[in-house]
Amino acid sequence: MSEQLDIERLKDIERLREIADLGLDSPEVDEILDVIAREAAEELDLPMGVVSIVLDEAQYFKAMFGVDGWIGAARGTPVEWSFCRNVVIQEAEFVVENALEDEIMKNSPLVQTEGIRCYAGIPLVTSRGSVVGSFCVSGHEERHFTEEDLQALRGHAARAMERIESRRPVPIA
Amino acid sequence: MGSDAVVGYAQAEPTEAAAINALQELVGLESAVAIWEWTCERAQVLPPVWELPALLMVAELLTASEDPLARVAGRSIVIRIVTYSALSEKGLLSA
Repeated sequence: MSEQLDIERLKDIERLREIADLGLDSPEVDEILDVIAREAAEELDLPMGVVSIVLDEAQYFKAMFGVDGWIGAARGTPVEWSFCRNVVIQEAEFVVENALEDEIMKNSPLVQTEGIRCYAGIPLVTSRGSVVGSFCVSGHEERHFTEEDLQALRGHAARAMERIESRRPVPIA
Repeated sequence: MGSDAVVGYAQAEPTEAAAINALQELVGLESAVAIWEWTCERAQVLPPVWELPALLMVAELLTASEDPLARVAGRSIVIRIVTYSALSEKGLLSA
């Protein structure tokens, strides 16, 4: 897919409007989403779990577990660094078992200097069909993700999406 | 480039022009300029905004804009400014 099409998908107005409608850009902490992120990381025995909302030019960590340091304080990164943008661009699961050998991700600062080595992300798809981000886990060591791992992650992503949909404002009759 | 700079962190310094451009891509030029000027006024910052702390203040107010797409753009701009500032403080920016 061309870079131009990638950018168009990230900046799709309807997708971004859906993010705003669901309040996914707001700094309000959602403790339930934080718990789901933690449970996913713990079940897969990985140090980090994140509900990452992919905005136009950044990814925003709506919920997170195990993300420390300045990236945790920033609650996100520029979009071009992120693994999660690939979930949105491809509208599909994105799995990296060894980021140093991954053509798409190997030059990202998250890999080169933050030491991320493995990642698995599941698309967060709204009831209106927009891919708003990725429910993901990651770690600092190479990792083979089994089908069982991915099934577990899909379950957590579904719970997260259910929680996100519950935030949708009810239209006034 | 500093001697301990990391090649991967080649982030351009956030500017007012880049912020307005990002906003424009989501809401159109006319609205972008109007929203930006209104937000600067609320932040009591006189455009053009040159200093990063002032730019951050405007971007943070943008995240509370009435326009949903402006809010999204504001969140992105805030993350990019905070990232740039953190890398700059740590001396990790490439040329």
